[in-house]
Amino acid sequence: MGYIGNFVAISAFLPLPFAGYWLAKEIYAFSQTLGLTMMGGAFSWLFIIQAVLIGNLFLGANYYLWLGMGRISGAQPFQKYIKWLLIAVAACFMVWATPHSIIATVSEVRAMGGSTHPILTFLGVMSAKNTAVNILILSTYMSFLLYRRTGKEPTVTWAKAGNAAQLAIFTTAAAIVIFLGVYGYFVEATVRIKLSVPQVLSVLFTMVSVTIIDVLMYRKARSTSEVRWGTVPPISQYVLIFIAVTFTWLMGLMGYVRSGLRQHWHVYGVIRDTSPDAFTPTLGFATKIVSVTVLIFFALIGFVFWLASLHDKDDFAGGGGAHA
Amino acid sequence: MKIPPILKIAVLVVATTSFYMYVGQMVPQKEVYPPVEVVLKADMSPAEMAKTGREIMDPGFNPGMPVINKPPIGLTDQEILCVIAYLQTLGGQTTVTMATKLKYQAGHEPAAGEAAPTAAAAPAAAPPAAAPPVAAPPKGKS
Repeated sequence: MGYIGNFVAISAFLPLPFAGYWLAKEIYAFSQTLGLTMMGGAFSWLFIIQAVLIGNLFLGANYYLWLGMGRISGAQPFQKYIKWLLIAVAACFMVWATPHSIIATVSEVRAMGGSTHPILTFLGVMSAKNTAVNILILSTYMSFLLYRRTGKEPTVTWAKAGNAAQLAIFTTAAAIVIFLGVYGYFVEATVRIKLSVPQVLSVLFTMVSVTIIDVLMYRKARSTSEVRWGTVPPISQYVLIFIAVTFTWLMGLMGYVRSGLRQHWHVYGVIRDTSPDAFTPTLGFATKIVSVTVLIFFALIGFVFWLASLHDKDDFAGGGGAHA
Repeated sequence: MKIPPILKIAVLVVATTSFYMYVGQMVPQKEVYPPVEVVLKADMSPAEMAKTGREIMDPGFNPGMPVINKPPIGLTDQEILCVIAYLQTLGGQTTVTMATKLKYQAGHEPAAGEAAPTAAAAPAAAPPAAAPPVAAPPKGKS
């Protein structure tokens, strides 16, 4: 059940960064001012919080897959790759969560020669962040692929060529993503923005083509070991709950940005909100509200589980007894 | 003592939520209020216009532009001078040369009577005498 839940969550989650970029592009096309308010104005720090949330989601989802591999005895050949995947995920997480201008004291700003750090500022721009998120997606997909293959051996004659093709596709996609990310530093903004399209397309192509090859290659695969269901470490269940809380919190935060982005408008630029409450609260206030909402939501979920657990208890048999 | 799983789950949910709330408190906090509408008179003097303009820009007006001479745009001083020259052609006469020292550059010592290179060369057009009062553009406090 945990595996299926995680599978559904990851499948729905991986395309979301693409959808996010698409939505941002549409917002910029509708109104540059609105786009700048979102990415460069009052809400820019919100996206650093979002990066922390999404980074944790990627870490949690990957960790669950790695733990899940442990319940299959044939996982040892693949487990040696986990540390490299962890390094890639952690490095991308750090890049994604690096702000363009950091919070610093006056003396620190003077020492840096401005509000931007001389080195870290290079990681706070979209070229670095686009690259990081695409590599993050590729790494997570690689984790899933390793998990899927654990304990199976392909029987098709072209298995070696299939593996080579998959490796070539992965390597090429990663090279394209990294090259375009670095190239983005040397071109003007209008060109740089367009570079995210081939980056995204190469990752999408990889996910689709590698999946097709993998499904065909492992269609009549021989099982080399049994899955020991129920032997996954208990911490994996807490990871699933952590992912669920993070997802819920993320939805709350994105609800705030969706509503807050309209600022003092009911309909942006059309119907103005003239009420005294037509102001946008601070991020700190918003995160408190989101947190309380998340806790209430999980309390309600707990209540539902408690109700469901009553089914396993003996029926109430007091009073006048049961009717026929 | 064995801790019941339900308690562990509750602690995990509260701890995770608290951590994200803590991150939310760490970032800069800014409450964004709607702009105050300013009624402008048609016969304002340039000094009054400049004063109103300053109020529109301050405090904390979001310029919506990154620092132009820092990455990722990173224009050189010469490129900035050329951009200034182009902007000046849109409204009047070009006053900058490649030898002009920009205000932020080290060693800039404005000579007597030297116009600030970033100032528009063209005089501001006076508003029509009969123009009715108009609402100012939104004043961003953010």
